[in-house]
Amino acid sequence: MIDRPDAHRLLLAVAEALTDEVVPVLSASASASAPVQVADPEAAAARYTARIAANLCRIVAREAELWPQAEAATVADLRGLLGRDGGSLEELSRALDDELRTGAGDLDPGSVHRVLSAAAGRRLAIARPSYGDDLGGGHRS
Amino acid sequence: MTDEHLLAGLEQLMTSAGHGPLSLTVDRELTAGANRRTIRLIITPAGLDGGPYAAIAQLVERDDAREGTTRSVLDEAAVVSAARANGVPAVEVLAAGRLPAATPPPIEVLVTREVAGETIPRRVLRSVGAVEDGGRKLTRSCGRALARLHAIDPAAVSLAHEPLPVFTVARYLDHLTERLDDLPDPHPTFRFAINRLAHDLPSDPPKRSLIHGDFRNGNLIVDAADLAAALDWELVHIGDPMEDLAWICLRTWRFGSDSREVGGFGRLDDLRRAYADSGGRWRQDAFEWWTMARTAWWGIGLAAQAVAFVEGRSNSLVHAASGRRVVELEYDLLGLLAARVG
Repeated sequence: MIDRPDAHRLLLAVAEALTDEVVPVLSASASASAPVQVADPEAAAARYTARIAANLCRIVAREAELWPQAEAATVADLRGLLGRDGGSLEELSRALDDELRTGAGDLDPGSVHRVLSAAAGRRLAIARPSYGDDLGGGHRS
Repeated sequence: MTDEHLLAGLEQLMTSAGHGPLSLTVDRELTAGANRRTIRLIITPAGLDGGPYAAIAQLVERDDAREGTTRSVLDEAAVVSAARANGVPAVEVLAAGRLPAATPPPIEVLVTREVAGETIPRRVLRSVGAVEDGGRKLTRSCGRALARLHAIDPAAVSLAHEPLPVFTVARYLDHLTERLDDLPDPHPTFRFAINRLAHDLPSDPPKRSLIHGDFRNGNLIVDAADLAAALDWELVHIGDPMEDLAWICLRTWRFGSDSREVGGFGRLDDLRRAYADSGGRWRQDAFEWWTMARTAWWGIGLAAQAVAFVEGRSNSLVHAASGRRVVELEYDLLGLLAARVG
């Protein structure tokens, strides 16, 4: 009673189909009659949409794989930072935002920066894994 | 408005701006939005005034009841013309005015001469990469263009409709805070950044300047690896010159070409030198402050686009995708803040 392919595999297949089959056809009509000035603007817009759609499929596929662990790690970090025993990611994010806004809690900026950077790194691994590397090993916490 | 009315109106406008007698045809529609259209025109002067030329007409429905929500293209024309007169590569305004429409809302139109070149960021990067000095010439031209823009006395630009907004650094910080508070979800990274920006507030510039507000790869027409014209003057305002210089250097406008800080095509040193050589005064503390402030602003802006999608005010896939780009700006911002929090 298990249906294959699973969601993760299906999303990657959709992304691949958009990238390999749809985008090239649209690219051809978008720039068929170079110079660029007389290219078909509708094809160019549709190509842009297809690229975004493929990218979003890949994000969702990575999210299914990585988010449970990422969320747990960020929740643990936030509980440690804020000195709490419980609370969801949303509650803890709001609590941190409130403390930063009001200045209550007297949080150490270095610790806040570390927690936020680690959380951003985990989210980036889902949204755009190559981004952190683009800087040639730039900052990473 | 029918095309026939439109053409008659445009012809009249062009003639009263001193370009007539002429005939004109619509070549094609470039963009069409809810209350804004852009069309390409072919203008043929009558008599011996030279051959036909291409022009771009922006048509904006002007709802007087909503004054203040959209900048009048007439004001935009005044700013662009002032910039051009001071040596900033900008489009040449051929005519600007209201079309004599039979039915409201009135339509404002800005007609500019078409400028040849490339605007799509990745194509710009490819085109400058193909020449020997890479993006150096373009970078220097950007520095020079901004210095010339910033040298204009804002008081000397007369606007028909409303005064330009003024942003001091303190006021910009308030603006950022308001934008952040408008978002339904918490964004502690931006809150953290705003705290740091408040702590490290630089002094305002000795004199206020005209600021383009969106001078970056994507809004520049690049031809023969050089700046042909700066586009998109809708966000023009009065403020700190370092805002414009920081914006063109934001990582998000490098389109993956990260080792070149200026728009993905040039070196910061070349920009700084060209700006100073053309009379601009570079203030490093303010440049760094604006780099962080503008990174936060764009991150908050992307989050706001996603909110519009989630709340059903937009069905654009681009706006949906913006929600997942917010973290890129957070990552950049945390990188900029790293040295400041020890």
